[in-house]
Amino acid sequence: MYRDYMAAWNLRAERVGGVSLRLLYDIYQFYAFVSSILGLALRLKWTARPAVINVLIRQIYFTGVEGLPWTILIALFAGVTAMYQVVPFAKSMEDVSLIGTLTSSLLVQEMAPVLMSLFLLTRSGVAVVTEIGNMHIRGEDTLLHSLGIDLHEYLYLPRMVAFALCGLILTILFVAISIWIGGLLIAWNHEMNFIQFLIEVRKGTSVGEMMLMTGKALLFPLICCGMLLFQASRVGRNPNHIPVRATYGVLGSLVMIVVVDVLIALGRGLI
Amino acid sequence: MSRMCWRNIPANGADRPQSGSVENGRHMRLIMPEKQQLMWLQQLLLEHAPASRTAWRIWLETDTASAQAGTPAFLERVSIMLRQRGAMANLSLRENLLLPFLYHAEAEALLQAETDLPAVAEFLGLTDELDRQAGECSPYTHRLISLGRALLQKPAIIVAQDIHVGIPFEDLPAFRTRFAEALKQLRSGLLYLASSEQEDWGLHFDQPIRGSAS
Repeated sequence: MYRDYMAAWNLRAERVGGVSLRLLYDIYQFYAFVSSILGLALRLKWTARPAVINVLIRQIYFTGVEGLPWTILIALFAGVTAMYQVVPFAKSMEDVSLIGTLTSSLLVQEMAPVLMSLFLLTRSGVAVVTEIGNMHIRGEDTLLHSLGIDLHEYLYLPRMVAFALCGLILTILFVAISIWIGGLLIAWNHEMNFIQFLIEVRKGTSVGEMMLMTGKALLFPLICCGMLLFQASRVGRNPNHIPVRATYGVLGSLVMIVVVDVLIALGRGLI
Repeated sequence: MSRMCWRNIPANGADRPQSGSVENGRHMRLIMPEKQQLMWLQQLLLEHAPASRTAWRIWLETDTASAQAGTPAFLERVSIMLRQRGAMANLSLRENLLLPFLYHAEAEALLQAETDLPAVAEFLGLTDELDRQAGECSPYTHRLISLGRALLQKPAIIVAQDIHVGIPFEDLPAFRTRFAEALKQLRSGLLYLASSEQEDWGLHFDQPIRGSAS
């Protein structure tokens, strides 16, 4: 009886250990994958390769340019919603300086980078996994090998660079549009003068906070794209793996964005 | 003179591992099942850890140097034609033909390839289709792209994996003629990985080497 009880516990411990080891190994592989791509990016050899630049331009067009109308639409609604929460609250507290502080904390530092990363993840993320996964299934990775082309440099690097660049630019646009639209609507409703609103927002936003937004706007899309490409690279030759890997990619990216955001907030709290 | 050599490649079903070589102008055929062909290709493509020359399993010898399989120097002089995939689906036929040159970005080679492209496209009968997406084209066109890439690359050795198999019956004679003509023009060596020795596709192989009894 006692032996059976111990055996059951040993089995559970083995399972937990196995899962933990697999998780650690996956994290290590993800780290190795992303760091090899970042290493290639920093070496800058790719900038002299027209084939890589062609892929980069296509990815920027698909991720950034085609995503622009959606970004504007989201920014319009997010700006209006945020300002209609912030301004009445600041007025009720009889402290207009709260407008700038809250806009900076909520919209600029948190909403903009997270919303834009989620937008990139939903719009381009699944497409990235599907495209790369299909390339593996069609054997195009073998073809690239046979031509002496580095998969990391030709397939993965341009997509990561495009995600990071588009993430940054779309986030800045998102912030600008949402603040302007929010301010214009508030002025239209005679709640506050538009110029006064902009001054309050400017007062409440420091350079450090802008830099934090820039960092997040670069980091979150990089994390998303790294995770998506990592999952896409593991599709193998089975088409059934594409939706599975896409799901893992999207969920993994979401979890990582939240974890990194929390870590940044904790880090700032400690500083 | 260039020569591609291989040594101690395990041969499924054969008595002992295979060794041999193929040089410029010679056509050689290895008969083996598809699974073993893929193993061969893996040996050709994977960049192995740098090892002493005696440990190399596949390599290319030229008058001036030797290069281990999988290295950029090897893949620059050896063109590999895959049966399953000859082109990237999301690129146009023009981009597919120029892909290795656009990637390796050696200005002189790229310029030469761009100059040769119209003649190669005409030879392949693809002049009017160069701007079509490869994903919209037939497997036969993909084989032509592989051949066109070899014509632009001017390799010392071509390794072809059952490249005639699976081509529609009506296109086969034209492909056969073009492939044989291309080899004549290039004077490259040919190592043909075939699953059957029934048909020689007009290539007049020097000798069939049986890699497997199956």
